[in-house]
Amino acid sequence: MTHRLLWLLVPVAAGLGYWTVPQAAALRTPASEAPPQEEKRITKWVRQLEHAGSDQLPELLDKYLAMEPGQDRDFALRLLCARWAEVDPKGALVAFTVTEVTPGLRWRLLTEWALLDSDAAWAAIAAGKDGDQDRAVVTEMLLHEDPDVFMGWFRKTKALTPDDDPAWLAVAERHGKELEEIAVALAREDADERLKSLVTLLARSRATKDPEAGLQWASQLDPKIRTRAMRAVLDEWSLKDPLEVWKRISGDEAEKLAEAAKLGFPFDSLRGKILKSLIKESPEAAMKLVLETGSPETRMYSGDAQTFKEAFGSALAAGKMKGIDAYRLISSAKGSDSSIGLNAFHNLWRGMSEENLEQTFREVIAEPAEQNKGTALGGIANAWAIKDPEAAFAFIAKIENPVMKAEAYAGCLREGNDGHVDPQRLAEIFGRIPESDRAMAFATEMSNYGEPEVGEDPMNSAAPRFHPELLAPLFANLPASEALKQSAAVLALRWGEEDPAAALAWAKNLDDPATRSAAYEHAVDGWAFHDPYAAGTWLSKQAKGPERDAATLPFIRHLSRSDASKAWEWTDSIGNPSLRMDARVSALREWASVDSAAAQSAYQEIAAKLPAADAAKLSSCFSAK
Amino acid sequence: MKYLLPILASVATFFAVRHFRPNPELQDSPEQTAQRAELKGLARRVDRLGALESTSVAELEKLRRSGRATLQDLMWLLEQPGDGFEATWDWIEQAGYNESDRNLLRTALVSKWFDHDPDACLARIGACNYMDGSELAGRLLGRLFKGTPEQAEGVRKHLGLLVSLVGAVDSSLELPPGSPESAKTLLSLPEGAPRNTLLRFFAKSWLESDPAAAIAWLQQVPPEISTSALESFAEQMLNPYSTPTEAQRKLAADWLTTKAPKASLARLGPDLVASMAKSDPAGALAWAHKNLSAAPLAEATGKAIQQVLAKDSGEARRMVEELPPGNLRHLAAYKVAEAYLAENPADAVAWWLDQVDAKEKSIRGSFGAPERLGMKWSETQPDSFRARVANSSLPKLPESVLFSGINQLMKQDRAATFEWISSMSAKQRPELARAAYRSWSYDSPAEAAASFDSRPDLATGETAGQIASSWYSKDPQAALGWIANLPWGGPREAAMAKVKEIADFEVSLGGTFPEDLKKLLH
Repeated sequence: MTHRLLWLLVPVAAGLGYWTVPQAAALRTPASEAPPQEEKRITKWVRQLEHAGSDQLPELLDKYLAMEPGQDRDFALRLLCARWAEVDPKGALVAFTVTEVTPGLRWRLLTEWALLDSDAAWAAIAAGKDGDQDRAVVTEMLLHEDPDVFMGWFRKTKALTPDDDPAWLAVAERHGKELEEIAVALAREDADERLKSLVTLLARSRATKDPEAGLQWASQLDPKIRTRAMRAVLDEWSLKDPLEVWKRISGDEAEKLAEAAKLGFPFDSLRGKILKSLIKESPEAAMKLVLETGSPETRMYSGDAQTFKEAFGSALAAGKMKGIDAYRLISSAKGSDSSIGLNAFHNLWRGMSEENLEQTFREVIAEPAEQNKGTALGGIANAWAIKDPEAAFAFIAKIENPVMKAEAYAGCLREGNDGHVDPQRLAEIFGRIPESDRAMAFATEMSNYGEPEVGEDPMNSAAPRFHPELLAPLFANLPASEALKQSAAVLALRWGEEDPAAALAWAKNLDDPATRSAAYEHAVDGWAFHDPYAAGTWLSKQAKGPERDAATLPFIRHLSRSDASKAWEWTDSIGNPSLRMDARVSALREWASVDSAAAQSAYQEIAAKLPAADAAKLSSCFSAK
Repeated sequence: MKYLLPILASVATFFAVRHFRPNPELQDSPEQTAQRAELKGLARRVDRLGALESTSVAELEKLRRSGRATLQDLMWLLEQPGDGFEATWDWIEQAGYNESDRNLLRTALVSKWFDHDPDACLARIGACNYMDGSELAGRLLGRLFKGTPEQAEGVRKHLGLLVSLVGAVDSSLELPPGSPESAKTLLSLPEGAPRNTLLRFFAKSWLESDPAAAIAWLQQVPPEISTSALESFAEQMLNPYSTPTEAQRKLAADWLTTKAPKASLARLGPDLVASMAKSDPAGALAWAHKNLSAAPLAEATGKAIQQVLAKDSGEARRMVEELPPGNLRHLAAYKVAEAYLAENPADAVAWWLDQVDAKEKSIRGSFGAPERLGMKWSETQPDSFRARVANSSLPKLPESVLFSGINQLMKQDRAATFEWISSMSAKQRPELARAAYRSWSYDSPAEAAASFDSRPDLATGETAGQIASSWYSKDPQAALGWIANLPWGGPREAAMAKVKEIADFEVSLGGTFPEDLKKLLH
């Protein structure tokens, strides 16, 4: 019998089980939703306010206004406004005027009041222009509070333009039809910007329900609003189904879609947004997708490359991706007929810790040769040198492969972001490179941007914009080498264009004869391009010798463009036979193109005295184009 | 055993009910939702503010999507991110905010993150794009002056990286107004390039607001700092797009003309001359010839003559004609011709051709003077351009001028341009057709190819080669398909030769020779 009674325990246990479940936040009172610590903060003010009458509220206003600016003060004042709107909104407005509170608080009160009694709050605002600001701001605040009350105010103020705030979607959800009517009215008023914004909102709203139909609807709109609407649908759609939108903007019909929407193929910003989310899911899959659907020429659009750079940079910074994996994946982007030099983005590595940078450096060095390997090493070295220059430079100094070593140092010279270089900082970094490697580092870095050309606007070049006078002293006393000669040529060309006197003074003091001649040649090249007469005047005062010979050749090339006969005369002043021959060819070719008879006559005068090979070379100037 | 069974059943029931009861945290019941919707006044606000105290990423996203939180609300929530800074940063990046809102949220997060874990925070800033990273770093550097002593110390420890992130964008820096106290704070930073960069930015801004005080202070700092600060200041004051006061302009000009090193003078001389030439072009030119050389002199001369041009175009042309040859004359000639073009384009281009040497006339590329003149001519006065091209009694225009002009005509009206080319003499037509097809095939090779097939009067080997090379570079398969369908003869041969040239070049870079092209060639 007793054991049968025990079965009654089963329903009792069921009841106990149900009621003893720990109370969840959602079942508590709204004010207790927050974690315990936060709960106390709100509760304190709620306790002060929940029974406060209109006589106590001014005192609480003073008390809350005296609090430190910040979230606590804001919360307390917001609660106060809510309470005051309940008990005496008109009195609150008077009190606010007396206390000279900021307009923000007055707007909060009006908002609370509007939520309780919309018409009364509206009526409390001054009519006409005086109340315009109050009405506009309160309407905006109501946007985040209650779509219906907001719509009542929006209808009357007509002051607010929809933007991408999600609160607008809630309004469109409930009042879509009315918003469409407003859009029609705006179209009649020719209110372009407001109309576009409103149509964008309606498009987003449609896209949340049925993106395919939304796109169809948007594509039928007037061309002047179609672009924004179609973009909005695609944007909203991509949040839900990025792959589907990716197919649309990359597939066979993509160009037609771009044309219809006037969005500009290949939808750069939209692609970027979608790609970012795909990369987050799986960098490998995203890379594969991009390579399969990329540009016919390069397999990847430049915007996509930029997105990879940013997304990989973030993943590397957060430690969610290994440097070597990023390198390998990026290297896989190489196309059959060309490649995207993703590794060329040197600041890809900027967010990595010193330890990870060192490890990645070691791993990339061990990788097989690849087109952008050196640039990647430069980027890693650059990031490391900013964080810990001592360690980075010590590590680079020990690299055995001279090419990789030079690339690493060269990368450090790209200090700054996306090519923005502070010339003083550049000089400081350059000075850190050991003298034995300095010229090679500079020559390597400058060769990355192609052969420097005289007259090239530095603003149109991606090469670092250095100040020659800051770098020049750092080349003094370096051991002679081909790299030093190349470096001196680059430096002298730039300096010769800016300040030839200073460039030539520097060149004069260089120890190595070959480097000195190269510096003379390029300094005068830079000068004579702009002002051959001035360069000629200077040259005419120089003593004969290899430097003068080297400098005279580019002078003759430039002079022959405007005065070939004079340039021809100058060729006799060159002592070095090989350089003299080059100068003669240059002058004669230009002369033949403007006055063939005079050129022929000059040629005949010397032809008989020349070796046959030289005479033939000069003779060819008359047949060349 | 008979007692044990009901006891065990009771225990099992207790835990089963506990386990399977619906979790109220996951969803509100309809009653609860209704109850919330009815909340008013203080209760409603308590409810709303309560929702603003959960800071997990899921809650942030829920709040954002609900539209119930303002941006300011979210910024406050970011001060104590429930799921950590990394996850919250990722949420900001991916929540779909526009650029301006995203930057505000990032700034709010970074202000706390840097206090908590500066290395992780800087890592993420370092991975931002240049402008965003610069702005965030600039705000953090402002803590040297506005932050607590602990915050300022945090900045000092990471000064090099922060300054590097700011880069060249000094407008991102939150530096205080110039004063000896602020200067002292900056001078107390560790010596080195980062400190000097900050000092330069600071001094430049101080020079703008209180030049006398700034100059007095600059006399006490190392010359490399004062010189670079004054050069930055002068660069900004003399920039043609800035609007300095007369006192600021004078200070910049005085420093440049009396105290600046030669290198600074070379860099800023052209802008100084432009500024001087506004009131005294002749004096400005004389100064330029005395103090500048090479590129700065060429630029300065062009700028000074530009000032004359506004008052007396004939005098400006005469001045150019007297200049020595070289880029010095080319730059000025271009500036004058460009302005003269609006008055009389045919004469302007003819005059320009007389002023420059053959190499300058043949320069290709959109930065070159000939293409710019040709483009502007046919853009602004297409009839005049067409008339000049048609006039066979005058020397032919250089290809650089002609092609850019035709390119512009094609952009305006392709059909009309083709009709005009058809109406030209048989001698002129091939070159003009090549120019037209070059423009078209660059923009839309498929359309250009279709036109080629339908215009036998303009179909030559040169035009076929032009289309084939443009198309092949963009879409090799399509280009080869078109060539395969061309009839045997000159155009087909020319087109094949062009694509073979490109393919051979790609092979020389390590690519492979396309099989389809091999078949076509055989």
